[in-house]
Amino acid sequence: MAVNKNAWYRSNWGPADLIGAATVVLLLNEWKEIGKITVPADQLVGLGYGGIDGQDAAVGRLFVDLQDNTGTSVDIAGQLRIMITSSNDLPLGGRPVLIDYDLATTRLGSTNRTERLPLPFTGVLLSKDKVFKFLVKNTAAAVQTLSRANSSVEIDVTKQMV
Amino acid sequence: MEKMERYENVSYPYIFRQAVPSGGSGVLTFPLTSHGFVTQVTVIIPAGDGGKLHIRPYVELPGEIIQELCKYAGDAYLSGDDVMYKLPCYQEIENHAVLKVQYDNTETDALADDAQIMVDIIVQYDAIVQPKNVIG
Repeated sequence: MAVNKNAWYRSNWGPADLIGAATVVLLLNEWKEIGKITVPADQLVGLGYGGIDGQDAAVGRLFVDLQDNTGTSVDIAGQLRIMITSSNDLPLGGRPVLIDYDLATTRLGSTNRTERLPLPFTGVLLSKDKVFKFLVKNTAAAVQTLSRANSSVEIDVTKQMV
Repeated sequence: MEKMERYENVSYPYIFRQAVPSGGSGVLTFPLTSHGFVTQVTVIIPAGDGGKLHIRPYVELPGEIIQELCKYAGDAYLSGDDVMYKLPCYQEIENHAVLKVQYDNTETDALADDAQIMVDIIVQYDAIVQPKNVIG
């Protein structure tokens, strides 16, 4: 399978990609898979976009603002993890975790892109049937219920048709 | 090593039991200390539960990597009423892995009887090493 840098194009993941159900219950201090993306056939997908130089001016950014399901939604307190697995849910290689970050930071920059967490392309492209998994660890004092409708997500990714 | 004994092909059932009041949820854990394999998960749900208790057994490997012991289509839990699931599986575990059983009692009636967690996870070890049982 050929990797041609000239064929890379920019894409993004939104709330429907990151969160697999309308609501997800997050138990205390436990990692919970909130959603996943299986790479389709004839495509390569990698987390992030752009080079690793000049992080302050990075073109690739990560914005994940997870909210709970109350009427006036409240920030979900916790840790966000993006990891990669095989089609059989086994961790991929020696580097299964791509990002492990506090949600308080990932929700910065709702209106200003330059305040968002820089997310350059990692250089890791997954081929068909491999899986990106999104997990949250609830670090609040009580059970939280994540709401997809109340949450906002924009994660830059790199794709290629093959 | 003369003060140690080596046991080969040993197998232990790890027993998870707890009464869960209406609306209760959490995770029961059992840290493991040797290399081996999970070979079976047994979940018993007594009559009268009505599918309210949701059970999800899994393993957390070092690095907080979660490996499910069951594969689910749809909702990711076991539930039922007057049923016993005896589920053969083969999942490798290692030192510092943790057996975990997530539970969620979705019963909303505060006066209802507690739900009963009855989960057994059987782990077979190739070998374990431990101090000799010698006094003096």
